[in-house]
Amino acid sequence: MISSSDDATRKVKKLIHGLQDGVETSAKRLLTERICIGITGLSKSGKSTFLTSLINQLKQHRHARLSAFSPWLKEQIISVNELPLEDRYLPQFSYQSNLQRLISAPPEWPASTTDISGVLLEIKLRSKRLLRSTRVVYVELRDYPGEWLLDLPLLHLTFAEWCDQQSKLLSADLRLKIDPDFCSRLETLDPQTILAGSVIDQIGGDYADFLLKCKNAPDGPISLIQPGRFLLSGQGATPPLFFPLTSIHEADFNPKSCSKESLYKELEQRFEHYKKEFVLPFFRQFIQPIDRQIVLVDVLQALNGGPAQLRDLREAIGAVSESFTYGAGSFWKSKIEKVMFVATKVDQVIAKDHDNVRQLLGSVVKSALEHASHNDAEYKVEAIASVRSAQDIKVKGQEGMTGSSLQGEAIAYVHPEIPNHIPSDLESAPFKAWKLPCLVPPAGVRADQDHSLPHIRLDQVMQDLLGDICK
Amino acid sequence: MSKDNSSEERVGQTYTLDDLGMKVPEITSVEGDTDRSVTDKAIQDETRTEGRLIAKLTLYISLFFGSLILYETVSLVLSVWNLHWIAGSVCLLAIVFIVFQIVFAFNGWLKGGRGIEHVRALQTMAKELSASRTHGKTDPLLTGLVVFYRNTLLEQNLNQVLEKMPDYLDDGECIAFVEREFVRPLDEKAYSVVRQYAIQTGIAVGASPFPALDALLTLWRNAMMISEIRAIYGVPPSLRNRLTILHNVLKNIAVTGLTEVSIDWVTDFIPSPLGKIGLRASQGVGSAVATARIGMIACEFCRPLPLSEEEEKSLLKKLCDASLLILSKRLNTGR
Repeated sequence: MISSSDDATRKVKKLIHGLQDGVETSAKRLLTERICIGITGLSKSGKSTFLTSLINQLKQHRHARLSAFSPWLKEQIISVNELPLEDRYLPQFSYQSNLQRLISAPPEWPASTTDISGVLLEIKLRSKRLLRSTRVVYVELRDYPGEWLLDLPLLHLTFAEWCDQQSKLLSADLRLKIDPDFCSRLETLDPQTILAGSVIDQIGGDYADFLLKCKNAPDGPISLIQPGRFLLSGQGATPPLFFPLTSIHEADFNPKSCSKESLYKELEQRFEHYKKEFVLPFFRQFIQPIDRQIVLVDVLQALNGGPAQLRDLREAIGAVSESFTYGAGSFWKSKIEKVMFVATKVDQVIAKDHDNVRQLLGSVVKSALEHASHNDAEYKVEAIASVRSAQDIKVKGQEGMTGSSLQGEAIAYVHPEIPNHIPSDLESAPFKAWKLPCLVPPAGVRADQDHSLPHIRLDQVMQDLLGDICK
Repeated sequence: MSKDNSSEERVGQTYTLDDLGMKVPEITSVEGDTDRSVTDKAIQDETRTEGRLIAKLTLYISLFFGSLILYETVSLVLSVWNLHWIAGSVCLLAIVFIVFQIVFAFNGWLKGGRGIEHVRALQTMAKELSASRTHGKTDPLLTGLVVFYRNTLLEQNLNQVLEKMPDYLDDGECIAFVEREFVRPLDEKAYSVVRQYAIQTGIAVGASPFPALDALLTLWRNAMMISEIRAIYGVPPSLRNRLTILHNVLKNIAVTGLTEVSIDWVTDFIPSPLGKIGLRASQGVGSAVATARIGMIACEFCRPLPLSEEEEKSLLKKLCDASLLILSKRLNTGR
C-alpha cells in the first residue's frame, strides 16, 4: 500500500516536473534562436559516433576542416558549449566518454546506445546585425536506442493490423529460416484460447529471444524488428510482453467473438498498453519537437547481408518515415522542414564509389523521400563518415582501401563495385562470397586541444542542417 | 552497373599490409594531390588563334598611327628649330623623353603572360564538371589554374588550397572546394571594390553640376574599377586582356540592357528616402547601379570559375542594395 502511494507521488511529481520543463523549453524556443535536430537511425547506424564527431567538430572548430560549413569558412563561430537540456529526467549525452573511446589506445567505437540522452549546443557566433556584435544559436540534439524508432509505426496500427503485418513478415524466408520452430508455434496458437499470464509471458519472452536472433542474424541484422523495447528496454519500466498472433488472418476469425479472457484480448490489451505507456511518450519527447532531421543509414552493412536485407531495410525506413510530420512548421506545431538521408561509414569504400553509395541509399529510402517531397520538405541524400577510419590505397595496381580490422591488424582490401541500386541476387553475388570488413577507428588520432576527428563530408551535413540558421 | 573496364576487375580481396609489404598510411582529413603536370593544350590552342588575329590588327593600326605621329612630331620639331635652335633642342629632348616613357609603359602593358581566354576556358571546363560526380576529370582544370596563377601573387594561395583539398572529393565537390577556399575570398575583395566605385560614381554624378561631364566621369571611374578587379583576380595587365574585358563588358551591356536594369533598381528604391532627393540624385543612383552592374560583369569575366545565374542575380542585388543604402545616406547628408 505504501509503495503504491509512493509510486503515485513519484508519478505526479514527474508529471509536474515534465510540465515545468516543457513550459521552460517552449519559452526558450520562442525567445531564442533555437532548433531541434532529430538524429534518426536504426540500431548500429552510427548515431552516437555522428553526435560525438559533430560536437567535436564544433567545439574544436579552430582546428577542424569544415570548408563546406559556411559559418566556419567565414570565421563566424566564436565558441561552442554543451549544456544539458531542460528536461531534468533526461541524462546528458556522454560526449566525453564517447570521445575517450575513439582516441584511446586501442581505439574503440562509442558503445551502442542503450538509453535516452540529450544535449543542448550553445553556438556563439559573430553577428553582422546592427547593435549586436554576437548572437547565440541553440541546437537541441537527442540520442536514443535505434531499436525504439521501429516502434513508431505501431502508433497507427491496431493489434489485428500489426498481427497481419507480422504474419506476412514471419512467413517470408528471411525470418522463417532463423527459427522455423518458433514461427510455426506462433501459427498454431488459437486466438480464442485462454492462457495463464505466466504462459503468455513465457511465449512473449521466447518472442523477444527470436527478435534478438533476428538482430544478430548470421547473414546480417534484420532491420524491421518490432517491438523495439523487447531488445532494449532502457532504464524505465519493463514493457509488457506480447507477441503477434499470426493465425488471425484466417477468414473465419472475428475479434468480436473473442471473450475478454481470450489470448487475443489479453495480447491486444498489452499491445495498447505498450503503445500508450512506451511508444507515445517517446514520440512526444523525441520525435514531435523535431524541426530538422538527419536519417542515418548503414546501407553498406545491409549490402553485406544481401538483397533481402536491403529490401527489409527499405521496408523499415519506409514504415518509420510515415510517423514523421514533414512540411513547414507553424508557431504552434513543429514540423520537419528539412530532412537529410545519410549513408554512414562510407570510408569503407573507395572514393569513386561514394556516389554509388548515395544512389543505393536513394533507392533504399525512396518511399521516405517521396513522403518528404510530397509534404514540401527539403531533402537531400548524402554519403559520409562521421569518423574516417580508412584510406584509399593502391593494392596490387587496383584501387582499394586500408584500415585496421576489429582484431587491430592493418589490412588492405579491394572491394567489388558498389551497386547504385538494390541489386538482384545475381548482382549481389560478389558480396555473398566476400564481405566489407568492419574497421576500428584510426589509431593515434587526437581530438583534443589542437586536433579534431577526421571525417568525410560531415561539414556538408553541418551546412545543410545548420548553415542557414548560423548565417 | 559497371562504369568502366577497371571497375569490372574489382573483386573482394583482403590482405594484411605485412603481406603486401606496405606501411600503414596515416589518416588525416586532408590530402593534397602533388603530382599535377602543367600542360593544357586546349587552352593554348584557343588562346593562339584569337591572339594572332588581334596581333595582326594591332600591328596595322599601330603602323598607321605611328607614321602619322612620326610625321607630326618631325614637323613640330622642325618648325620649333626654325624659330631657335635651343628651343628646337629642348623640344626634341622633351619628345624623346615622352617616347621613352610611352615605350616603357606599353612594354609593361603588352607583357603579361596568359590572356583572359585562359580564364574563359577554365570557366567552360568548370561549368561542365560542376554538377558531376565523377572522379579525376578536374585534373586539367586544376592544372590550368596552376598554370594561370604561376609566378603571380596568388600562386602560393592557390597551392595551399590545393594541398588542403580532401582526397575523397568528386569532381563537382572539387570545384566547389576551390570556389569556396580560393575564389570566394577574391570575390569578397572584388565586390568591395565594386561597391566602393559604385558609391563614388553615384556621389560624383549626383553632385556634378555639368551633365556633360557625367558620362566622362562614369567612364573614368569604371575603367579604374575594371583595372582593379582584373588585378584582384590575377588577370595579367596585358593590352589584349584589357581590351577583351572591355569588349565583353560592352557586349554584355548591349545584350542585357544596362538602362533597363538600372531603372528596375531605382524603381525598387523609390519608397526609400532616396525617392525624395530629386533628379540629380536619381541620376547618381542610376550611375551607381550601372557601375555595380559593370563591376559584376567584369568580375564574371575575370573569375577563374563560373558564377551561376542565381548567384549572379543575388550578388548584384546585394551589391546594389548595399551601395544604394550607403549612397542614399551620403546624398541625404550632403543636401
